[in-house]
Amino acid sequence: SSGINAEYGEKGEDLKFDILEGSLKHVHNHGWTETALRHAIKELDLSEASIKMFKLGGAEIALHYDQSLNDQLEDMMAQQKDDLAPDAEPVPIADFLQDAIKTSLELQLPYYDRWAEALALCIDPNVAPKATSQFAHLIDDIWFYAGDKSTDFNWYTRRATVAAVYGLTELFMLQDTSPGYSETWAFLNRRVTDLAALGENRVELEKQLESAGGLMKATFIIARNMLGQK
Amino acid sequence: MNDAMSLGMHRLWKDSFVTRADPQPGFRCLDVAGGTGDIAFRIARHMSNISKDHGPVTICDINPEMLRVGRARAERDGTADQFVWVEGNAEPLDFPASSFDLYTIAYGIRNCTHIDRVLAEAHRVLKPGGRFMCLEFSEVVQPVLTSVYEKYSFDVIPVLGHLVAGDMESYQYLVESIRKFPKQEEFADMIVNAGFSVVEYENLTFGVTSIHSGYKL
Repeated sequence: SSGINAEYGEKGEDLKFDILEGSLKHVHNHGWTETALRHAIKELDLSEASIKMFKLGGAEIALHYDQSLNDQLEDMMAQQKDDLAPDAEPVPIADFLQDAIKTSLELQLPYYDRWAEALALCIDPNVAPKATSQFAHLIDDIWFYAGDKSTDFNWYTRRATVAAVYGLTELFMLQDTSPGYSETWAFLNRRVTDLAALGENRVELEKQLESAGGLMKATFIIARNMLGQK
Repeated sequence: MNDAMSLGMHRLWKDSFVTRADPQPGFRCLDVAGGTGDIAFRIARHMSNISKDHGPVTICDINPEMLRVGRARAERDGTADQFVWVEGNAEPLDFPASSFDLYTIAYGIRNCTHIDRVLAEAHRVLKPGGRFMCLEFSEVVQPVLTSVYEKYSFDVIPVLGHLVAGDMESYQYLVESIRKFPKQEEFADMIVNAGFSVVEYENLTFGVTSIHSGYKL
């Protein structure tokens, strides 16, 4: 019997951003937690009452960080597009996808000590919608810059296939101990190659896609299990 | 606040209000127009559950009788040292700027002549990052309930008031003051105009009561 309305006023958004940014340096020591938020709030000379602005608690730091990585990737892809000579050969889609996914995953490295925990937080039903929507936008961006103009696929199948490859590779990387994550990039290469091969057979692809839906949830659950949490 | 009027629900609403506020032991809290202590006692209890080592809750009310009642309750409960009782107006507030983490006002603001000035004063005394919270009667949002509620409020409440307290006029005034008070969105706009950010409201019991919240940023 309650209704909660949307937020009023934009000035608060700027300060929320500053608090989330300020929390990042505390994540190594404290994880994606309210403790990290509290440190940032104190450093900004604000009352601790302001922590209640963050309804999802420390998970909001993870969401904020995840979004900043996606923004970074988009900037890089846009820059690369601008740098291309007008008459240059377009990068083959498979190559582009592989490069974009690798770059995106490498952007996670500065906070990799806490990344599995960030993924595990996404299982929470309150956090999942935002996490999933951010991830979906990331995949859409990658496809946009891949420049695929084929009409064989419909929009949803493209998004699901790349999401599946990204998710599997992200999981693989979490337990990869090879130098420079060379095993992960080899794994990624095989998945993208599978994808290209699948593309030729539409019926096969659609069968594969039925399981792609549950993939992201599986990614989060495995990350959580790796952390030994419930 | 009367049980007959809210069918006892006011206790639940006040519980929700303080739970949402989630005051921490280190907070300096100011409760305005709550002389009998309903909110302040809940705030103190909430803080005590986290740590016995917490600061006093300041209560400001213009009515010395209400303060007397509240003080007596605290003495009886043995919690007198957790409260500071101040007789004073909601505007202007006799406190220095930027001195509180949490400002609460429950079922008091609708009786203030200049709501915008009360909000401005709340903004002044809060620290940067501090939170304003208001618990107040509001507009019932469910259309079927609206007509039932209207009938109830205009026909039943004053009669109950007469039966319970022998005072129909006060209850008629009460119902009128609820009617005149701005609706949820309009009140939220007033809070934004007073300088608060991240302003939102939450309806309880289909909007019979609403919790408004904003931060001084």
